[in-house]
Amino acid sequence: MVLRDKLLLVLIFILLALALMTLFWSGFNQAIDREEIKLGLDLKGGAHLVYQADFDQAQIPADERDDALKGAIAVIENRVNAYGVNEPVIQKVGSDRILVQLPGIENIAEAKRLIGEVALIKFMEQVTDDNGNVTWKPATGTLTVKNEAGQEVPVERELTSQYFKGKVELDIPQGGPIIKFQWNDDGAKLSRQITTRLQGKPLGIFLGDQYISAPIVRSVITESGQIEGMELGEAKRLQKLLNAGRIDVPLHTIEEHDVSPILGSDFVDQSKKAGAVGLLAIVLFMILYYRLPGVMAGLALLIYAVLVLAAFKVWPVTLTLAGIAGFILSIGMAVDANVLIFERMREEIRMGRTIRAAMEAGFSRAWPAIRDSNLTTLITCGVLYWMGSSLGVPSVQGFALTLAIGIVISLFTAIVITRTFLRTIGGNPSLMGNQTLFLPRRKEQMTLSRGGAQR
Amino acid sequence: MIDFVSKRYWFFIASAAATVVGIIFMAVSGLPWGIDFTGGTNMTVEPVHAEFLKAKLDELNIPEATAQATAENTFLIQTRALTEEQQTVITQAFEALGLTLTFNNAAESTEITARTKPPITRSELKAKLDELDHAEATIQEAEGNSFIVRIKEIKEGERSTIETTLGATGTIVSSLDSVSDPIAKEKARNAVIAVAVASVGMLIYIWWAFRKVPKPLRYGVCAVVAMLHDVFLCLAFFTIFAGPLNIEINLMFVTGILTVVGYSVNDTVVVFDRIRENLTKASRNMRFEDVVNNSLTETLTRCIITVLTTLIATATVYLFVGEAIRSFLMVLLVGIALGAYSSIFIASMLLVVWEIRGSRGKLSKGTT
Repeated sequence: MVLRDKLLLVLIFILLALALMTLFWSGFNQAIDREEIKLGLDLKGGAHLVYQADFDQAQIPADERDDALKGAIAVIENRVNAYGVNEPVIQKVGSDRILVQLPGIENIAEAKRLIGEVALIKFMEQVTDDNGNVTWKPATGTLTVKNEAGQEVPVERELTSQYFKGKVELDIPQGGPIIKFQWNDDGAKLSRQITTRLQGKPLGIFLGDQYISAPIVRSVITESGQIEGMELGEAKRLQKLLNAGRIDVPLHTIEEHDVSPILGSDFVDQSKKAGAVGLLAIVLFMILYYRLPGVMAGLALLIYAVLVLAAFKVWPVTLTLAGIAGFILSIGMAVDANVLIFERMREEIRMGRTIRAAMEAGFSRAWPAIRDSNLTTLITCGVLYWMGSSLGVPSVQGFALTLAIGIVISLFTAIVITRTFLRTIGGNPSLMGNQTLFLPRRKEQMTLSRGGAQR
Repeated sequence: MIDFVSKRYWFFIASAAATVVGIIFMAVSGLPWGIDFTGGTNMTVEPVHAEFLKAKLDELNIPEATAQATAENTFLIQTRALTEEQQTVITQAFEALGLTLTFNNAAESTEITARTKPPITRSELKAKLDELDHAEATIQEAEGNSFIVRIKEIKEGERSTIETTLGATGTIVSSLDSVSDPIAKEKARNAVIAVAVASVGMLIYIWWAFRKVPKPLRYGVCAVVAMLHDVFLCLAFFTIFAGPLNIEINLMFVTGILTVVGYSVNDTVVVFDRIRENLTKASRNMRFEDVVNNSLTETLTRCIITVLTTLIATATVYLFVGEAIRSFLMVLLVGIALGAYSSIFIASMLLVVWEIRGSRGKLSKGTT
């Protein structure tokens, strides 16, 4: 066995070991931060919603739309996280749509209400209770309001961003970023009362119920104010959130799908069985039909399956039903590469070459067909991936991705692993001399001239 | 060598006949579009079942509740001992679902016998839908007393009205898929674009890959024509058998079609690759047809085996996984078979016909 082959065998062994560790050893998984294969919505069950942002109704000018959408997404993310959803998917689709996937949410109506709301920015102050515990409570002031009888009565109102006027701006001078906002009349009144009271103390800024920051009040804020003392990244984020928290971009539901979780888990189990059975059936077939090379190919295919699943975990691929189908299809294509090589090998043996020479010829002759056919399928994967992402259909994306990964790895498996295995046995004269290990004996011996076969 | 080429007109006739039949069916019954492309709402409604009751109890914060079906239209629910308040809450919630409850309180636990109304019938469902102002809805029976209802348009907020009305008859909406009109049109457009882009991409790639062979563009064109043939016949097949197979054209179906596209061209490329190789080795006096026949004979085994193994893989998934990706898998099964057929009997034959017309059957290397 040549040194190159030995090295390749070592490489294959290492890859296999890594892959098995990724799949089965949780310690390793924690080290590389990949706990489980991520499951898509159709496997876990949950809600799939697509929202259309109605910019026209909110009268948002063209150059601010992207920010508005991103802001809305940030708000939804905060809300969804507060609700405790495990691994939600919230992403921008196109220029004016948002895709929201909430795995495990059975009460879609509740989820929709949650998302549809645009949170307010609340201002809070700290209070110390009798035991010395410090908590936040909404900062309030007093406004004069007309009641039903037409009298003016004082009422207590919380200070929130509903009293902001116009847009929040971000200045970035020498000393550090400053967020500037303006109060409307009511806001100005409340703000004066509150900031007078809180001079030198922190004023908590909350998005809904979630804490954002608590800058110290430096001066009495009446008509406009500014928030400083933050670093640039934080300030930008806060500006987006403030503007997002205020801009009322109506979101219309244009698509919704309920996926029942109960059904979902069944499918995972059954897909695993399907994969195992399918793989074994194919391996069996290969051994029966191609004999010794078939055994090599069978082994290579099993390694292939392990490598691909590990790749899914590491990438990480979000596995959907379609993704599983893509994986199983790629097994079929991996087999195809082997079939091309072995058919070629048989031809070469029948033409009179030694087995060893036939092996090499098989690989080199089959390679253009393998390369071209797999590349054309990869093109389809690319198109499918694009279609999936532009339409906001994660399943189709998942399918394209798993198929593409499967094809790339199958190219590797067929060309490197199968070939190395065969070369390894190529050094063994007793195996090489025995043709029946490679193909059934034929009654007639055929003579072939180049370019045509007479049978 | 098997002489495929001389029989080429039979293959053309077969495909043409299938195409004509397909067109007729499509024109008469229309393609079985799903809501992904027409817009609308699909609801699955079914009679109340135990898991649903359990979920409801969880929602109401009733601890340690279990529910199971004991007899037809009867459920047994067991919980820890319930307070008056909890009992009222449960009664309210469950009566809205058309259930009559009998409480059996013990010291540590409570047993509730819940009787439901008999499962809703199709005509009752239709009547309810008419009431809700959705006379245009189509109802399809599915397994286990459930129905799939297709409605043109549900306004925001209408879902809860529907749920309440149906709830009173003991029917729950177990799943809902809704696609609005504009997004449906967009999906349709994008699907067509996807096929077009994939076709062009592959055409260009094959043109480049076969650049050293005379007239490389032909290979790309014939491959794409064969692929479109497969796509069309796939659509035709499922238009004809849409009813009995319960298939509709949704995104899963289109994903299947796109896979068939890739697969068909994949197959054709392998065959063409062999033709290319034999062409470069062929002597000047060989006829193009003979080269093609040899190539087809040589690749026949591989084609059959590959189709077989991929069919095994697809069939296994179909047997085990079933329902949700059924339409996808069926498209694959039909499409893969078509792909193999078209690579040998259509694409290669087209090449031959083109070549014969072009250079009267003699191999001309390097020129034109």
